[in-house]
Amino acid sequence: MASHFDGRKAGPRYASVVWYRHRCYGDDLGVVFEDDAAGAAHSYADVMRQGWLAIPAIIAAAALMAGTLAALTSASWIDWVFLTVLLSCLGGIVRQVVQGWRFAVHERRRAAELADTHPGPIALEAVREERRRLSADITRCLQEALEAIAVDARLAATESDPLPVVRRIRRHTQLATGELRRQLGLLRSDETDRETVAPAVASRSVGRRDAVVALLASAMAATESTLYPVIEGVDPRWTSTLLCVLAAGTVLTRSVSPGLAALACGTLYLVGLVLDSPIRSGFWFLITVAGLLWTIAARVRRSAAELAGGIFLILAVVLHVALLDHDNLGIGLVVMGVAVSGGFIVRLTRRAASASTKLREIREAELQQVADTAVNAEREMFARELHDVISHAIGLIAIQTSAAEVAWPTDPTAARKSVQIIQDTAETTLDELHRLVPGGPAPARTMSDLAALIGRIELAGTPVELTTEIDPAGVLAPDVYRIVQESLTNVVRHAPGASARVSVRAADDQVTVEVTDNGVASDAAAVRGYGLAGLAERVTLAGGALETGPASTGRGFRVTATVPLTVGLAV
Amino acid sequence: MTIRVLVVDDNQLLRAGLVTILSSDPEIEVVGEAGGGPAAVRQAITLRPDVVLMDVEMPEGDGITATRRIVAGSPDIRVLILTMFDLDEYVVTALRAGASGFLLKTTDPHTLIEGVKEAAAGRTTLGPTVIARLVDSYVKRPDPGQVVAGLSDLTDRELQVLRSMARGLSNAEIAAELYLAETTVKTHVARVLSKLGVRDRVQAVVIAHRAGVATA
Repeated sequence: MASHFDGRKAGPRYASVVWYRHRCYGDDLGVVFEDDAAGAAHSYADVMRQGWLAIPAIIAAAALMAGTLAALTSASWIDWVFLTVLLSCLGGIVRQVVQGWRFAVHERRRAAELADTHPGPIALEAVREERRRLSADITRCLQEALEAIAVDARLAATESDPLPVVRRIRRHTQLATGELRRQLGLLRSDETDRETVAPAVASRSVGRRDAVVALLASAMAATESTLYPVIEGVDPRWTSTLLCVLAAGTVLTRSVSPGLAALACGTLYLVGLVLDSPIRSGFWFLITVAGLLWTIAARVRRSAAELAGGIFLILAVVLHVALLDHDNLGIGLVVMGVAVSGGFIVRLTRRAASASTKLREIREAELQQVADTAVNAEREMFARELHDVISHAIGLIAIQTSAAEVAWPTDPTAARKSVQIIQDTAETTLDELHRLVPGGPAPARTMSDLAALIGRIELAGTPVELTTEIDPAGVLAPDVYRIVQESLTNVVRHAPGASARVSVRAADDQVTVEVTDNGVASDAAAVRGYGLAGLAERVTLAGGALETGPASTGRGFRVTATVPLTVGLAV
Repeated sequence: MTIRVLVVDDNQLLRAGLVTILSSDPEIEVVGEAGGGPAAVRQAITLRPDVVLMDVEMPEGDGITATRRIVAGSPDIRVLILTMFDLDEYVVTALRAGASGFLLKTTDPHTLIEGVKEAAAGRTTLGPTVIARLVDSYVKRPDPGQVVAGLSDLTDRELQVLRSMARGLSNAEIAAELYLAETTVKTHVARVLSKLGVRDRVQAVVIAHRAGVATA
């Protein structure tokens, strides 16, 4: 039985999270986000990972186009390769832009859907989920305790020395009391320890991918800066090769600090200018220079220093190429222009997406809080009903256990009688427990039960004024009693020091219940209203209505409910 | 001298059980039973018991109101609240009403009997959970302007002892903490009680919390 004792702590949160996943991320995705056929795309990275097959397709298409073009203009195979790479990059950029735009649209739609989601149904859904769990979990612990008591009482009746068994019964009563107490929230230390999940921080270290890319760029730079002079029939210069390899390698810190990488790369270009050692343009240029410019342009949270690094790189490259490598100036400008503009467009889509994402996350947190409130209220309401059924019985059993224990040495007959009382009480209470279903009907209450309830609330320190013309013997529907009970418990909990008014009126064919308090109005009022979501549902099922909101006086909170007379009051 | 006890609970079977338990001790005599608050007040006046064992929730009048009436009428009667939880909503209200302590229904008979004897001797101490609740209550809802007569008459040492009492310590524990003999602590406690004009240490603890001395 001890294993259940963690149930409450993990319970509501777990249930609502499960529900939430189910609702927003799981199979129901089709309901919430109707035309999101692609399914669970939760982040930009997810979107980017989708459809990776597009990359070979783009390269193949680029190769085909370049081949056609080369065949038509009877260009050399090097031109064909060059054109293929260029077209592939262009295709890749277009793909990035399209996917970024798609993600932004997707995020905006999700945020809009969530903004339109009314917390009411969400709270209700959470409550229903919780009820399914409650019946299986909460009752079981107390039920097991009572069953154990009944079994042990039967055993004690036949034992020659019933004392050990009797002491075990007391242990059961203590465990059951502890469980009840926990369920009633008397130990509410766990109320404040909400799980705070640290937001995932984007990785800011040089990853393996960056290292591979830098190595590739450097290798290409080394090859290209030695190969091209040989093809052209000039002697390769080692300073050129060294500068080229170093410049290509700056892409290493692309994720960590693209501004610094751009600064380093641009500086190397200037050094090449000073030493009159041309840095050979080549395919590596697409990776390093275009890559760095793209990264800086596309960055959502971009610092002025990064921007300056990017501009510096462009200027250094333009100066260097214009003076030392004039033939490649045109293509270099085109490549850099495409990289920068592509990056800027992606940045726009990312920004739009991240704004939507933020809105969505705030809304999700709000809805989660509403769901948690509703679930906790439902648990406690059920626990109170459980308490009403069980508490007195456990108390009686405990006292009779002690009575049996002290009577046994001198008066075994009296001890046996106590054991019989224990057994009867446990069995009767078990029957009552079986009838108790979360969200189901509670036992009928009279007007004097209501008066007793108000007396208890006053004992807890909240003055209550009751206005009614209904006869004390009048039988109330459980809903009327529950409405008053939950509303007053909320006053005790949320508005310490406030006083409350309860009015129960029967007029025409319905009973109107109103509970108001004069506590300080707070932002929590709306959330507090959702705590009654489960109750509101029951009232609605019975053909009535339950409304919550600020009191008409502008101070405090108000709960108004109407219940049809046939159900609300049966005199 | 026997301790005369009045048993108050709405359930007759539970009362019978209590009578069985308490009567098993030769020093205790159950002089009466009541099934509700008003009956308990009447019985207390006519029977003049030393200790009343009081249930809280009873259909015919609650135990807290009855406690207030009994204590107001006869300050020498000690009322022990019989409860399921030692931490429920009534704890503070019950202490304010003048209750001398709490007994859990689920405790073993020995503790129950000892609890009654301690109460009769005015030695009841509150458990740490109840103390925490008390502190919570007075810190959250302070009672301004509660000047308790006699508090200024206490010597520094007596104030020190009162603070230790307010933390729920027993005489032996206070003695160990303040490096005093237990008999000296007893004398200090007795003087504190008489200067504050209260009949047992639990009420002295309530005053200490109410006047803000306990946390100073």
